[in-house]
Amino acid sequence: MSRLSMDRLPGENVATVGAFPASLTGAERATVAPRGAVLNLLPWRDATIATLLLIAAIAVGSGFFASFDPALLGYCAATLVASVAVVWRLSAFWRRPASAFYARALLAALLQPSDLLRTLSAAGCDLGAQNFIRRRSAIRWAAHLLLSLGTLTSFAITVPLVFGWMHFVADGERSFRMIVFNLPAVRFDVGGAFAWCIFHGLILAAVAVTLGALYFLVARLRRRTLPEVTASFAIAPLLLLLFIALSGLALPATRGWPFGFRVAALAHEASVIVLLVALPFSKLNHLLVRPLQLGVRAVRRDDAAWRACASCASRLAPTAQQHAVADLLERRGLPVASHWRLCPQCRRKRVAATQASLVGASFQPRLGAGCDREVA
Amino acid sequence: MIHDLFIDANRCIGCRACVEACSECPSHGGQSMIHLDFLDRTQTVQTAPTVCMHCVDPSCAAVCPADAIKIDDNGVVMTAMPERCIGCGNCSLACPFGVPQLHVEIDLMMKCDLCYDRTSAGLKPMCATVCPSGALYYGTRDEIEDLRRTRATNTFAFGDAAVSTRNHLMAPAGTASIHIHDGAGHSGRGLSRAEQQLGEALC
Amino acid sequence: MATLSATVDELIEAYGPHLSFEPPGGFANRGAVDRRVETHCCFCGQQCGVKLLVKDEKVVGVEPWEEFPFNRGKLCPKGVKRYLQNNHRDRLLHPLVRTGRGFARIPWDEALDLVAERFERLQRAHGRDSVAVLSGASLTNEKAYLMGKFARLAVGTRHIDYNGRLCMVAAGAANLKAFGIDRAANPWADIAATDLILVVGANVSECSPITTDYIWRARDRGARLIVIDPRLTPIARTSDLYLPVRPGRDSALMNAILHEVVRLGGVDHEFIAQHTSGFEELQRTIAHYAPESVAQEVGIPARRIVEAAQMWVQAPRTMLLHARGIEHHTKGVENVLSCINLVLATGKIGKPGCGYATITGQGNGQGAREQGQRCNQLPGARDVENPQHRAVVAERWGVPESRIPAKGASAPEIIEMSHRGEIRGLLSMCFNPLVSLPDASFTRAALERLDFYVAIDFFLSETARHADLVLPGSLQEEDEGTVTNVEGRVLRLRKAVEPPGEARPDWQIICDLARRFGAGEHFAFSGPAAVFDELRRLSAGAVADYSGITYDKIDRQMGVFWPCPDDDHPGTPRLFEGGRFAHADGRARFHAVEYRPPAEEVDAEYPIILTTGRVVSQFLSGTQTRRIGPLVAHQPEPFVEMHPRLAAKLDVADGDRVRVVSRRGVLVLTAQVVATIRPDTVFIPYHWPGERSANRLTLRAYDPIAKIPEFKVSAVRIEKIAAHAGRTGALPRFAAAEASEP
Repeated sequence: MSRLSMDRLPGENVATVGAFPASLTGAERATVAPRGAVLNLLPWRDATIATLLLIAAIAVGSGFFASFDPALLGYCAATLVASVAVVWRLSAFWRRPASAFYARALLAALLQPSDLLRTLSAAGCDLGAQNFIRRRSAIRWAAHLLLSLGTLTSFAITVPLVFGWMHFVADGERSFRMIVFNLPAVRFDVGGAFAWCIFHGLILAAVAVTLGALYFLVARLRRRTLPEVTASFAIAPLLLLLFIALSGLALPATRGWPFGFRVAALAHEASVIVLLVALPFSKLNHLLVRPLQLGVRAVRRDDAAWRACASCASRLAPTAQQHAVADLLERRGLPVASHWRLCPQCRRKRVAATQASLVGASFQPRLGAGCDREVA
Repeated sequence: MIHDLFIDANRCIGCRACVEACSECPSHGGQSMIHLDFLDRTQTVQTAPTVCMHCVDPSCAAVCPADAIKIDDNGVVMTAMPERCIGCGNCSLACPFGVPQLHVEIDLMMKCDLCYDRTSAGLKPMCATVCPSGALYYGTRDEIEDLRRTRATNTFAFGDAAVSTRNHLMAPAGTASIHIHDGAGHSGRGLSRAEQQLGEALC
Repeated sequence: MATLSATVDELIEAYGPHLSFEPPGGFANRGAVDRRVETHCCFCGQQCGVKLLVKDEKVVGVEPWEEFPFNRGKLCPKGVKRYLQNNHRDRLLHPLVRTGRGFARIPWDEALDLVAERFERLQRAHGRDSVAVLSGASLTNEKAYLMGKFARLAVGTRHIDYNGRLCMVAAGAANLKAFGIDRAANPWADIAATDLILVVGANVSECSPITTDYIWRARDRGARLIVIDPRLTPIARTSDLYLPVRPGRDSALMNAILHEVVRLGGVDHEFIAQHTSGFEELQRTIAHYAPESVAQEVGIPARRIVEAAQMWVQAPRTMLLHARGIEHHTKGVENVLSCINLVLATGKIGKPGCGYATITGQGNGQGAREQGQRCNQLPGARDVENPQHRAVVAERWGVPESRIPAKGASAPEIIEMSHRGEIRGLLSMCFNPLVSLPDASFTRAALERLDFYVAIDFFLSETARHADLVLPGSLQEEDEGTVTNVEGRVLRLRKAVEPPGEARPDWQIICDLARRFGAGEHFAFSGPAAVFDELRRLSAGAVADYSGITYDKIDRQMGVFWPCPDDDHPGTPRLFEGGRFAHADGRARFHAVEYRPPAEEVDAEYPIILTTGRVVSQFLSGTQTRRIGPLVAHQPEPFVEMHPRLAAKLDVADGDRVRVVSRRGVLVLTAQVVATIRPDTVFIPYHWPGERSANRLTLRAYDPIAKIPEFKVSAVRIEKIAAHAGRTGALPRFAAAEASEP
């Protein structure tokens, strides 16, 4: 049955792991942060290099702070902190042995010209269009697109503004010129469609985020059937995004009311800073995981070498993946040799057959045996 | 208090009530997470339900590149988090019990989460509530050992490697650990008594 | 007249079967529900307790009802997915009248008038008995009671019968002969408390899955299990002794077991002397059924028969259970009697953990056979030919005794009479004979010859497609009432939702029709509770005495076992305690049974025995279960099951398409080659219509007493037609559930 259009996916409301990573469980310690992860210097190195490069880019891009807007200093600082955290987290995560296999596959695919096109097209489908979510549920996909594209669009507009990479100057009576990296770029008419999009882009993005976040919040509340442990893990980021979008929308709305504007600006700035800093440590960190899907695409290609189940000959897995998993299990001292060549169904049958034959042996005839216990 | 599942495939009658009931669990969204397999329909009507054994040190979580498989404080191994899971199938390749099910079309693994919505609220999982043969039983070890002549075992030997699990398989008294044989295919299981008696039929 | 007025494809497009996979609004939006209604499954005779989840006045799901003592929350897949029959796109919502092209809507009043007008016209021209009523055993006690009263007092025909004729009648007739009462002798709790369970011709794990729980509970205490069945069913697989009987040889086998029990000295002479009559004659009969002499005929080595007898003698307490496997025969009554003989001869009845039961099949298989909708019975399981019984019923109905018609024809006979033109008008409710009766081509021809046929149903069944008028009735969860389960425990069905559209509760349709027939004063009921009150008054003093049962008492006790003769009586879970039987002299009767061969023996032309039966995911003729997607997905198509040895002889491999040919018809099916069936026998499940209908192969041969058809034995030959063409693929949502049929 290929009937997987459920709107509600398994486990998604089971926020049992609590606010990640505050209550790391045993498996968390085992899988995410192998011994001494924080002491591992490589992610710190990556984060430092990336952040230094970013600072350099800000300096260069803003004409050594000529076009830097001091009013956005708070945002800029928070973004730099976030950059350290995100790159550290990304690096640490992608260096985990299980993730590294797919990270390497992704890098290899990107570096191999013959695979590049395929990988880019996969990126368009998986990361851009998010087709896998559409196949899970069309309505969730639409809401998720609104939420994700709204968020990404607003970052795409605000980050260059914050870093002074982009600003506008009047150019004639009724037109502006966009300055990017201190270089004059496009000139546009103040009443034109492009201008409308530029000046309303953030509003459109905020509306999209609001709609998307509201859908998920309502859906989540409607589905509360049984007492759940805590939904904070899933709900907090939604509330935060909604708050950012609404406070962002309040900025143009309060233009004529200075006090209101100051409050809205403060609320917006504070909430954006929280979002940036929490990004790698909240549910939103799935953004850091998702690109690995392109690595999966590269490994599980139909034209790769695949292995069949040693018992029933059904298609099992690419040889490379099979070996990678076996290697991971072996390193962790988990069982592997007994079953790694079998498909899941043959594994199940083997366990069941073993158990059933053990128990079946105890059903031998007991001629004349009385019953040893009464039913209540 | 979340209890344990006890599985005795020998009692299974293959009715699939567990499969259908699983899809009705509120958090499963119409999708069944349980497997029901014929061991070899040509030879026998023996079927077996497989739910997640909820390993103490789960292989599926250990090999997950997306860190999508979580374990709660009660030791329940959750199904993949949909926002994390990248559909690679590592878990499915790693699990010695053959539990995680990769749905390629939606790039998502789904597996038994012990009906977390129900069990965390003091209810029984759907599958064990409806199972008419007792092949699936939910409760405490004392309860089931009081009802049955068999004993609950939650340690397994896969080749040289030992695996301990939260859930149990039923085995004869004195079975410290169930040894799952090496090699391919199901263990060369002999005919049941009834199967032998059918062989004697005069035609 | 009633050939189909549209093509089957057109009818399927309009009325299904289509498949329903999800609750209304999908699983995603089910969320918190408004209420949980404690009621029972709509399918088999186990009548498991379930809670139906209702949201926005729609049934959206199911929750196990663990407090209900019979099934303690346990369910089979049908019980889990039963709720998907509600809110179904195929649901009949309006009265429909046949047109030149399919069906058209018609107002209720016109529809009801039409029934009365057409029936009365036929009756004026051809006599009162030219119209017949066919009813169902899925109906509540209240509806079953109404149908009998309606046929006799309103329509005034003697031809009223029901589809229990295909189910419980052989066991019922044999129980009446032997015990003087027709009910399971023991509550199911006694199965769990016994030392030996003998299952004869009952595929417990597929047809009454919840009984598996009781059997395993007994075995957990050390009880042993013997299964007699030509197929190695899941419950047989782990049995202590399995006897793969050749289909149609049950009475010979049971006689042989009893022969051996006598030889082993296992007979309870004291019990026989005090509580039974007729043993001497029985002893003379079974004397020539030594295991060695019948072994070849029954197809089982003599030593296994001896082993069964030894186990029976050694067990202090035993429970014998049987079902359709021995009842669907031209000697169904005799097969059952041969089982009862074994129980009585060893005195193993009427004690805790010790007794006998037939596993009733249909939802209200027990109750629907007691309320007077059988051709030979009046309410309270009274005999329509017994003058005293007639007088009591006439007096309580307030009519002269002459107004109660004589015994009528049984359901298969009604079809035969329709075929001969003797019956010209038919009203049916919840009966799909086109799928369920043997020799389906004959049934189709009979339906086509009717002058006027009105069907009351919730879905347009294959039979109802032939109707001139279709009245939309109620699903089980859309009406109140009581049913009596396999144990004789009377249970309460609670209404979960109202009938949709213009559909009406069945009881109301019958009462409205009765008024049109001028019998309104006998049908002035305010609802099912009022019908139940009359029903229990009518049953007072009869064998099936419900007079002390009230809806309240059922709620309080989670069911009441009949007989329950007065308000303070708690009910009677176990019959025959102290060896008191229901015959006037208090004694049970032995009936010496000589083995007879089945109606159709295999020969050179048709060398293979065909036996038909069920699969766990479908129920009876499939009117409901063939519309429930997840159940159809388990078993989308019928198949023919055969042993590898037979398959090798026929050069057939697993998955090959084969032609199964009998003297009645031909079926093309996929072969399922399995070592779990006798090599001389093939099996086909019967739930499907048209070109997939196993009943195109079965024969119209009936038990002389019970008129139950011989579904379990016919002769066929099998021809291979093509190699394996691949399994059926995934089912799209709401796909048409069947391909077209001619």
